[in-house]
Amino acid sequence: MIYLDNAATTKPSEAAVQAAHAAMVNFGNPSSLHGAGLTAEKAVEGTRRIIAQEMGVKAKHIYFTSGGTEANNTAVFGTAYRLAPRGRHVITTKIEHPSVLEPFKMLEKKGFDVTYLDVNSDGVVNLEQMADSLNENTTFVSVMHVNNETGVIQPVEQIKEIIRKKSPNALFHVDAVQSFGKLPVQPLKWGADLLSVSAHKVHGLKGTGALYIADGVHINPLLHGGGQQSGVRPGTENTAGIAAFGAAISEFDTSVAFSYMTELRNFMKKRLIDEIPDIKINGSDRYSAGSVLNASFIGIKAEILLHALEARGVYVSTGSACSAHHPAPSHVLTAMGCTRGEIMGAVRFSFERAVTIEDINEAVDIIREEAARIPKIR
Amino acid sequence: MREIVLVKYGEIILKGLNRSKFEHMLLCNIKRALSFIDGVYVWAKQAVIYVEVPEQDKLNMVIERLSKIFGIVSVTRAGVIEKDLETIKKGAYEYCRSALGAGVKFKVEAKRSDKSFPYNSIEIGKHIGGYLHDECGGAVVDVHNPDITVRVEVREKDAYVYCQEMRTKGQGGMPIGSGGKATLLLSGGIDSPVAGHMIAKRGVEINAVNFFSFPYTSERAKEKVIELASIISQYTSKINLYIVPFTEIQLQIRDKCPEDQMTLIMRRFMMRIAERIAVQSGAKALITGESVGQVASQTLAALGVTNDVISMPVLRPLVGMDKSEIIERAERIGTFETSILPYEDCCTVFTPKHPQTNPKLAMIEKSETHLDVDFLIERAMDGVEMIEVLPE
Repeated sequence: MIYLDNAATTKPSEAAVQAAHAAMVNFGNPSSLHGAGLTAEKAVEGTRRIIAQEMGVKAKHIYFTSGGTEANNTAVFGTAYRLAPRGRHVITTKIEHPSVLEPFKMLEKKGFDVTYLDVNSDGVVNLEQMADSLNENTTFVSVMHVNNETGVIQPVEQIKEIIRKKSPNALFHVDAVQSFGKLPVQPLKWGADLLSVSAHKVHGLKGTGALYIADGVHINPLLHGGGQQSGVRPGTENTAGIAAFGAAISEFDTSVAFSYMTELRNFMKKRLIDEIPDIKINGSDRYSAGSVLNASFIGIKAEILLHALEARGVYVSTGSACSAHHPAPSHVLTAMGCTRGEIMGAVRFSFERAVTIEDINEAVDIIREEAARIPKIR
Repeated sequence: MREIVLVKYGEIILKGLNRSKFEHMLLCNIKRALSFIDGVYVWAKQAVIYVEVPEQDKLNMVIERLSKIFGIVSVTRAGVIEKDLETIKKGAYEYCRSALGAGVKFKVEAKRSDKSFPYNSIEIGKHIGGYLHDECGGAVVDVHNPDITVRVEVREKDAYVYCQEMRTKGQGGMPIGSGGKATLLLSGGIDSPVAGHMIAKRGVEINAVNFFSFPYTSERAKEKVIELASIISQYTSKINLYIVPFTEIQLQIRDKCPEDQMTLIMRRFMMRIAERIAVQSGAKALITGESVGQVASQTLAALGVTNDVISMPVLRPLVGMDKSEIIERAERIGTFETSILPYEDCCTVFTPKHPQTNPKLAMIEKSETHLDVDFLIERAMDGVEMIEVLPE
């Protein structure tokens, strides 16, 4: 099996599985006062420190969640509602993950004024539009660091600069689910007030994520309960998932990850362009995180190619499910101005450190054969 | 109070000399459907089937299962009472009092099939009606327009009491197996499961054929078809589902035949293969979900062209139904939610832009000369996978 769907989920690392197992065997509740509780608490706090260290922030500013979706929901709702008395204008982009976009749509229904920023054909957010949109009523801006469909890096640092100039009181959230562990994620440097990450994208377990909330930033919690994690995110912590998250991150080498995956991406891209007729690469090269290669096989329905590749042991993903009865064209590629044919034929290859050049060579051989076998749409 | 399940059956009673054979089939079907519950005891007497369930908390599950067995008109839970008038009175009160509140109009209908019981039906009804009226404060007898009909049946072993309004309606129809066997062309859509259910209701055992076009349809599409077969099998018991590899045939048609004839030629292949499987499995007819005029391949001319390749009868129970009527049935039998899951089935991938609605048989036959029909069918038959699908 050649697994090139690492933007969907990754294989948990051996260390992560062992840490999860240990946390399940030592089953204590981190909030219990006795020794069993202490052991669990240590595992949770250990991971909190590791995440904080990786981001260059203080451990007390990290809050565990049930995953990226909850972290993003908490960031959007928790901030927008908290700051609603100051203003009801909020900004995001057209290419966010649904766990950001849908909360924004919900805010729109509740009477917020929402600006959805365009992106250019490279998949990079329009900064001029950002500057024009910000005003004294703007309280909250959310922009993802790396896009999940194209792997394009958004200029978060520049965005914060613009926010500082035009709406200095607005808070800035970054969805770093696709970049954490692959690129340096530096909320302090970027000026991010909130930042979301997820464990299973980086060889941890599903069901675990975290939200960074900067010093002095207060939000309305989504959940209310027993006061765990200062009441920002109550609920008994998912000790197994959190312990695994810490173990997974400990194995990161962010600097190597970026250059290695960029090498894989460039190699695969070159071979695809050289060997497959009618192919188009979606998303900027210059701003690519290296972890994702999005390619449109013109004239082919991506889902058919996906199943053909699956039969040969190559696992990829399409931009979005595409069925004759339920067309759901990718909102990201649509925002980039891709044609219908490009969107229909878009396949996403996403990498991780264990993928080798040999894997890519073998995968491309198979892709070339299968793409040639599938009849083109007339 | 201990309860029992009473099963009433309909059409079988009208049968003449064969009646006991039909009753036996129904009894077997009921036993098989309930075999997963320990200690269930089923017997028939005087046109009633009795189901005793030692674990009384499983009664609802038993009723749910029975309500899906063809040949049954109604299913009722009933209180079991010793055959003594005073005991029956008290038992009827105990069993029905919660339904007989103030102002509720009720009547008692008694039936005595044990003629040795010292009171006749009318007398039993009067005694119990009077007792219930006296004991249930405010419930009034109204024999013409009752809200609640309390039924008391004095039968061979015991007396049984139940409220008629609590009955669960059965499927009706005939016991599975009494009508032979037929092969259903099962797609992932809304229509074919409904067609299968309708024919099965007439007592016909069903097996099913699905045409699978990997990679044009995914494993999930196959799972969906298995799921649909499983829902139908709740009514029919086990279904043998034959998965036929169809990709090569579709690609050949696409490459060698006119685009506007693609669907028709494809359907002719489906009919041929389904007939082959039917013959091999002892089925005497095919079942399709076709309805006149629903899509281009279901005009009368198109049906004629697809029907021409086989000699077996094709049952099309939906032939005169509107889509809305079919959907209503699909919802009732529980297949609709699964049918509308958005996984592509093979019909939606190879769809011509402008399919022929008034095809000429001679032209279609001429197009097929470009294909090695027998060879393609042999190849497909070689790759058939059979899955035994059971109710979940």
